[in-house]
Amino acid sequence: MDTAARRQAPEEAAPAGNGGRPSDSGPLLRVAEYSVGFDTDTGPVTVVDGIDLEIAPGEVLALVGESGSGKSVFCRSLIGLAGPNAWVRGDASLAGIDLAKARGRVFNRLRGRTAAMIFQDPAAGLDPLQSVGAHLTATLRRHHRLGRRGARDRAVDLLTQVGLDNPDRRLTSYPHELSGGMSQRVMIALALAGDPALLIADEPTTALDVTLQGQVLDLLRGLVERRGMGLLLVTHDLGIVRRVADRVAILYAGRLAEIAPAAALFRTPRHRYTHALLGSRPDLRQPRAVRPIPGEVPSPWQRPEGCAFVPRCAWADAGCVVERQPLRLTGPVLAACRHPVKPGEVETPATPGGTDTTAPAARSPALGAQPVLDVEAARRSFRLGRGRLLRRAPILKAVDGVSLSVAPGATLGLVGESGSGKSTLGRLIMGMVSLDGGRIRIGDRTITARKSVDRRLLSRRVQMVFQNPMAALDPRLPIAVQVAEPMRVHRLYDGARRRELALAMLRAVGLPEAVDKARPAELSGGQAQRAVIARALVLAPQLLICDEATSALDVSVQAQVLDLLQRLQRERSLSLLFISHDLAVVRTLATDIAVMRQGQIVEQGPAAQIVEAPRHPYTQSLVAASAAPPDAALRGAA
Amino acid sequence: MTYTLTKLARAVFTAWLAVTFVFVMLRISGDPALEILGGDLPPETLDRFREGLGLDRPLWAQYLGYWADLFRGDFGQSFRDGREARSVVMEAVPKTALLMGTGFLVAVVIGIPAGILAALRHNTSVDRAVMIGASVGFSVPNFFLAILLILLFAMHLRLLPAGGSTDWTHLVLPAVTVGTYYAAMLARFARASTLDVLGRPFLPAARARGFGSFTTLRRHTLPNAALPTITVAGLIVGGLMSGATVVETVFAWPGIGRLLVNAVSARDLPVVQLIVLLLALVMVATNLIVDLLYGVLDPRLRRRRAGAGS
Repeated sequence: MDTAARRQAPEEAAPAGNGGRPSDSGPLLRVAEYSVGFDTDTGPVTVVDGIDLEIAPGEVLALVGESGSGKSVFCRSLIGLAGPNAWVRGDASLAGIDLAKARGRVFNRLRGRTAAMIFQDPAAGLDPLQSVGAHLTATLRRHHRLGRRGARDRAVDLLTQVGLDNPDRRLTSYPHELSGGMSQRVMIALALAGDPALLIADEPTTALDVTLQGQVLDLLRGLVERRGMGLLLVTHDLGIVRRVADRVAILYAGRLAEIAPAAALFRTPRHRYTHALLGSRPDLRQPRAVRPIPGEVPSPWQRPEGCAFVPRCAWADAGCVVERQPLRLTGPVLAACRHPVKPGEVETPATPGGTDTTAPAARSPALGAQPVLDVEAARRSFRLGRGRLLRRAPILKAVDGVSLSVAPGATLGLVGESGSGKSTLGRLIMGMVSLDGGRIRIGDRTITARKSVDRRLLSRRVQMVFQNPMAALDPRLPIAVQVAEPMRVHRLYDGARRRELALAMLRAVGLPEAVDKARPAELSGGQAQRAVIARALVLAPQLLICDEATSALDVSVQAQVLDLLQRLQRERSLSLLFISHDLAVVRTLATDIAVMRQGQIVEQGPAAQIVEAPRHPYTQSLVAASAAPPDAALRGAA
Repeated sequence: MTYTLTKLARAVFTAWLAVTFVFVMLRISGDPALEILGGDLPPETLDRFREGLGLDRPLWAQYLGYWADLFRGDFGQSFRDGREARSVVMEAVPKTALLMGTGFLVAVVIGIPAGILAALRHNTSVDRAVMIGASVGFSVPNFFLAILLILLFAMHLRLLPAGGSTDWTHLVLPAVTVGTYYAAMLARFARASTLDVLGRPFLPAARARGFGSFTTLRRHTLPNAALPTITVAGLIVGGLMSGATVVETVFAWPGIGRLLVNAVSARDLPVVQLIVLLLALVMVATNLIVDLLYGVLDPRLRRRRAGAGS
C-alpha cells in the first residue's frame, strides 16, 4: 500500500498540488497519488481517487466538492478515522509523519496535536453528559502536563480565544445549554487544545445560520493567522470559500478537477466543472437565472473511466471519455481538463435572455388583481414544555402578527434564520396548524382562529414542498402511484386517467419515463424532489409553498430545481411562497421578499429593493452575511 | 424540589390505585367464608365467621376500616391461622429478597457486559452468538427452564437440591433461573443502547482529539449507554418481586411469591392485601429511584429541574 512512498524526491514531485502557492517553507501536509477506498460486501470501492495537494503552515486550503465527491472521507483518512473497512494508497506526509505507514498508535499520538478536526454538526459533537469544562480539561490534560488548576486556566484562555463571553461561567455549561454558534466555538476551542499544526474543518458552518457562518469563518481565519496553523476547509459552499481561502481545490467524483489561488479561481475558472459550478450558484449581487449542470454526480460505483465530468459536460469529446486528464498548469491554475475555459471566453449559451430574473417585471401581476394568498395579522404561539405546579410554561410567539400577500403568478420569498417562525407560517397557510388570531385567505377560502377550513378542499388550492424529499415520499410506493395519489384522495378521474396525468406531470418536471415504477430509494435527491414537486402540482394548485425545498440539495442540483420551479411557474401561472434561510437562493426566484425574525416581518418589498437597499438593520446584516465580496472580474469574464 | 414532589405524589397515587383495585376485586370475586370453611356448614356458622372478620359490613365500610387500620399500623390477622398478617409476610420477605437479589446480580453481571460486547463487535460472530443466547433466554418460559434445571442438576446429576431454602446450594438453581431471563433482557437493551450511542458524532469527535478507543469507550460511550439501561434495570427490580411467584412455587422456595399464590387460593385477604401493598410500594419506589437517579445523571434533566423549581 505504501510502495510509492520513496519513489520520488520531494523536489521532483510534479508541480502537483502546488497551484501557484509561493512555496517558501516546506508543506505541512502533502499528499500525492492519494487514494482512499472501502472494502464493501459488493467488493472494493475507491472514493478518493489519486489526488495531489499540499498545505503550507498558515495557509487556508479549501477543498470544495458536492456530496459524494469524497471530501469528508479524505479528511477523516488523514487522521486515521475513515473507518475499519477503509484502505489508503499513495503518499501522505503530515508534519514529517508518514501517514501512509501510520497505524493506530501513530494516529493516536497525532490526533489533536499534529492535526485536529472539527465537524459539521457542532451540537452533536459534544457529549451531552459532560460540561464544557470537562470536555476541555480532559482534552488539555491529554495533550499537556497540566494539573486541574492549570487545565482550568488554559480552558478559560481557549474559550476567550474563540470569542465566547463569560468563559468562566461557560465551563459549567452543558452542551444542551449552548446555541449552535456557541457549540461550534467550543468545538474549535477543543480542537485548539493540543496546539495542532493542521486544523481540518469539515463543513464547519453548514449547520449554522448565515449571520453566524461569517463570524465562525472570520474566527477560523484569525486563528490561522495568529497561530500559523494550516487549515483544510472542507465545504460544498463556494460562497464561504471566497471569504477565507488562500487556495481552492475542486474535488469532483473523488478526483481533483482544479486547484488554484482563490482569486484566480473565481476570476478565471479553468475546468469545465468549476466553471459550471460557479454558474449554478445563486448570487445575491448578480441575480440571474442560475445555470444548472445537467445530470448528477456519479456514485463511486459508477465513475467513468476518463474524465468523471464527461456525462454532464457540453464540451466533452472522445478524448475526454478515453483518457483521464492529469492536472496541467495554465497560468496560476492547475486544471485537469482537455478543454479548459479560456480567459475572456463568452458565456456558454445556457442563458439566453428568456429565463433572466433580473426582469421580474415581466411576470409581475396586473395591478389590482386579487391576491392568491392574503395573510392578515396572523398569530400563533406555542407553549414550551409543560407547566409545573402553579407555573405556566413559557410561551413562544412563533408567528406574531404577520401580514403579507402573494399576487397571481408572483413569487414571495420569505427569508429568516432558524426559529424565525417562517416554517410555522407555511404550516398555518396549509391549514396544518391552527391560527390563534388574524386571517388567512387563499383564493376564495378563508381561515380564521374560529373557523378552520376543510384541509381537503384547501389542498386543491395550496400545496407544499418540503426540505427532505426522501422523507416526504413513501418508501414503498412506486413514484407514479404517489404522484397520482392526490387525485385519488379527491376522487378525481378514473385510474387510467390518473395514471396518464401522473405520467404527464412526471414528464413536466423533467423526470425520465422509466422513473414511474421506481421506489424513492432508487432516485437521487434531485430526482426525488422533482417527484415531490410533481405530486404537489398534479392538482393544479394556485399556490405552491416551498419550505427550504432546495436546502438539502447540492449546488448544481439546487440550480436544476430552481430552474424547474421558474419554468413551471411561467407555464402554469403559479404563485410561489418560497421559504428559505438563503437570501441568494430566494433572490433568484422572488419578485418580492419578506424578511422574518422572531415571528414578525421586519421588512418586505420588491426583491431588488430589499437586497440593494435594505432598511432594517437585521436585513442589512443578512445581506452583508449572504453577499460574497464583489468580484466584477468573474462576471466580466463570463 | 417541585420535580421530586411531583414524582412522589404520583408514586403514592399509583400505590393507592393498586391496593384499592385488589381490595375491591378480591371482595367481589368470591366469598372467603366458603373458601375457608367449605360449603357444607349451616348458614349461621358461615354468618358468624363473616361477622367475626367484618365481612358482613358494606364494601365501603370495610374499605374505610381497612385504611383506618393501615394508618394504625394494623395489617389484620391471617384468616387461616389467626396470626398477624404482618409477621406472616415479613417471614417470607428476606427469602425472596435473597433469591431475587442474587438473580438480579446474575442478570447484571452476565447481561450488561454481554450486551456491550455484542454492540462493540456489531455484526460479528460474537454479536450473533450473544443475540441468539439472549433470544433463547428471553423466550424459554421460567417454569420450563426451572424444570429443565431440576431434571439435569437435581435428578440426573444429583449435584444440587431441587427445592427448599436451608443453605446456599438451594439458592443456585432458582437464582440461575431468574437470572437467565433478566440477563437476556438486559443484554438486548444494553446492546441496543450502546449501538445507539456508537452512532453518535461525539465519539469520532473525541477520537479526533486524541483519545484512544478505550478512553472514549469509558468516558463517553458507556455513560451515555447506561442511561436507558438504568430504566430497564429499574423495571426489572420492580418486576422481580412479582415475578417470584412462578420460580418460588417450582422450587418450593418459602418467599412471598409462594405465599401469595397460597393466600390467593385460600382467600386469605389480609395477607394478599399486604403482599400487594408491598409489591406496589417496591415497584413505585424503584421507579421513583430511577427517576431521581436520572435527574442526577443526566444534566439535561438536572438543569431543567433547577430552573423550574427554584
